[in-house]
Amino acid sequence: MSFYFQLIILGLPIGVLWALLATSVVMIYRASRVLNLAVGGTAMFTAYVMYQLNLWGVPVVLALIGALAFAVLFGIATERWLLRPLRDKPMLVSVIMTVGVLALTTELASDRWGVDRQNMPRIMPSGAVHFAGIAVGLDRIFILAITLLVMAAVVYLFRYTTLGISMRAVSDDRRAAQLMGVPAGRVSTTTWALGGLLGGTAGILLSPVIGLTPNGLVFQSIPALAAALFGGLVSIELTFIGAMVLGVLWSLLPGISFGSLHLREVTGVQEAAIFLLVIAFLYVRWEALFGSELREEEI
Amino acid sequence: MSDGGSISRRVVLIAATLVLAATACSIQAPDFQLVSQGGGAGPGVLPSGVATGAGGSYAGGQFGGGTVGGGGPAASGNCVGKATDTGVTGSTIKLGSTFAISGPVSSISGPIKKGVLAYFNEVNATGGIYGRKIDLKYYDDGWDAQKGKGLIKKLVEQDKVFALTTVPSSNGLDAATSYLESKRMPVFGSSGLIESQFRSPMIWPIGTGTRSASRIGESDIVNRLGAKNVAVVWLDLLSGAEARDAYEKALPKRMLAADRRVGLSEAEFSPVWADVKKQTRDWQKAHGKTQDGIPDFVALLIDPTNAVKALEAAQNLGFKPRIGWGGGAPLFLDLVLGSTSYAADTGIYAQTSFIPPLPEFAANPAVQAYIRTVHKYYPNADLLNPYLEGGYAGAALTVEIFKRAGSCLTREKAIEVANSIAGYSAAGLTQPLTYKQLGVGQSHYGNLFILGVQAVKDSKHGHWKVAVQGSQMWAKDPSPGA
Repeated sequence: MSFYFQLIILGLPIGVLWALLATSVVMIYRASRVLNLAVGGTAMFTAYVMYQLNLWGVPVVLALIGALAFAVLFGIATERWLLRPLRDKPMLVSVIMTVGVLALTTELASDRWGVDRQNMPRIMPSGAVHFAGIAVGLDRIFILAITLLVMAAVVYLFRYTTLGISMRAVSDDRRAAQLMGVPAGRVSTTTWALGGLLGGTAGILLSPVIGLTPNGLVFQSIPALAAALFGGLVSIELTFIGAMVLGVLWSLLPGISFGSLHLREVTGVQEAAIFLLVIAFLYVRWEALFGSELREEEI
Repeated sequence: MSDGGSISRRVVLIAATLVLAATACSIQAPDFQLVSQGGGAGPGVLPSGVATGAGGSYAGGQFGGGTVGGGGPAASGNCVGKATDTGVTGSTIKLGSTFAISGPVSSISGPIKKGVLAYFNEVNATGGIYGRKIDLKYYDDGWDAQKGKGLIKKLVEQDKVFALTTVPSSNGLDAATSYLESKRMPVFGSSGLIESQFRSPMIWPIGTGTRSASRIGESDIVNRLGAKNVAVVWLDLLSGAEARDAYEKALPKRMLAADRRVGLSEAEFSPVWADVKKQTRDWQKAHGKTQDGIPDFVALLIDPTNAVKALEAAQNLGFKPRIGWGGGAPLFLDLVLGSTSYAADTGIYAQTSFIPPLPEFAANPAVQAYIRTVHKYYPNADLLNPYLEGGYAGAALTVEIFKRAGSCLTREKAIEVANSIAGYSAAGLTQPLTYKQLGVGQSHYGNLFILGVQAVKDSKHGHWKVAVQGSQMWAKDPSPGA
């Protein structure tokens, strides 16, 4: 049993990081109705900015702050100059624009830093914690703790702050919110800034685990998008749960055997499980599980 | 929310699901390089930094010096200065290739281009082959099999190349093999990563096959290093799967302690090691051994980026095999040693098909020429990279075939010459290549040799050295094609 328990525990840090990326997607979607497929690009590029700053001799803490500042500015710039002009165009145009941003960031990173893995400056402790017969890396525990704190802050912001309420108001009905005095444009920009911050944080935390390469971090946005779909692109809580389930599944599935059938030997079992789960969830969730309640309350 | 909003959100959700599903199809080998080189093709860049036209075509020759063997007796044939076949004019030989410069294996495949271009540039700088300069047209297929196949067809049908050279993007080459055979379009100096290359009558690989390398590696682990059990961690891509199959066949079944597949996008290796430990513990239980879950040896049959992730996760968890870890050429990169000292600390072994620029071979003139030539065009190139060296040697094999074919160069003549190659060392960097040595049909197991290397500790992260000295330095696969 401790084997499966260990796999579950080991899946949690990846799950929370996907949750962070997914929350960025959900937050931006809620405020601007744009599905941000560039979230992986933002995460990746932010990590590279931190790497480059450190390479230039900037101390790790300052490099971290600088990179996060970049993520915020990147989010703002994307909204102001790339997406706001498209507000009156069909929604898919904006989504395609985010694909363009993803391509641009990936290409720029490949050109500037090459495709080989680069070493991120170490910001997390090394070593492992042993308990209940299992070993877990200290850095993974660190990731788990940091991300949970960030997630809690996001939920608090959405539920209890003026900004969060404004975001929800803009999300519900932009015109009505504006009539009520909510500065919809500024709220939208702030949301993109926060979305960039979340994506950038995820990139900085993920890159030491999965390696800093132009493609590696972008791959991680795929399960994150799946988690966002769990939450119907609106519910941060469900998105979080979805990401955790996916992280645990990713870790657990290859360890499961049915008699002589070992899932670790099945090609693409983890990927397939994620998408089957998303499709199944989309089929049943709205009507069977939540009916119209979610649609009305969560948005 | 309004009905319209609800509908629009559903549209977005459906679109997102479709995007997700489409991406899922390529998650094992996706190409996120959305801005690709034009039509797959785009402006290539000369080693000198001179941008080329669409498709990355270039005809070098502006570089002087060097000792790379181009030339050929300029007046030895009667076709000098004349067109002799498709893609062969009086002054150029048009060749084609596809590289995985972008995409998931670009860290392996990308550097190959530098070796190929450096060699051809130097050949052109020294006068070309019978006065003809190499004009290489290449595309980036991002390791996408169908895109690669399409680009190879384009090279043959639209660009009208004379032959293909190296084609390190072996996924696309694999997909295009039947097509190339139907067109009798030869590929000289391919990587040898995938078994199908050795069995095609139109492909002459320069590298030792993955299966051969794995058999030699397995023998080394068991006979020299004395491992009593082995855990195999393999990448679920063509060459990773072939390496794993070779290990499974060569390794006595009772020695396989763990068998773990990983994907190219493996997010986290901690669960992988947990699984390996569990399987090893089960194996130890079944064999009456102490159940500590530690295998004697871990065969890391994975790409270098994943290898670094794997080693770092193992270091964090305090997991290390009793004897060490090892794999093929993908581990023989500074990238693997540059990230963590754990690789050298815990004993990591790798392999190469080519004489590497290690201190042991510093006096070798061929190695010196390789270093001098590549550095001339790519001062920052990682010369130790066996793939880059393979590209250089593959280009040398191509040139040698053209030289032997004479000035009246035709495709059929080049094919005939390639099939008669025996005891030839490409650029002086390979053991003798003999493409008919099996004597079985058209099999092209030209290179059967492997050099084992191992990482040793130093004041930094470690460095590589030849694993076995003396006459046993190069191991030969006794049963190629098995």
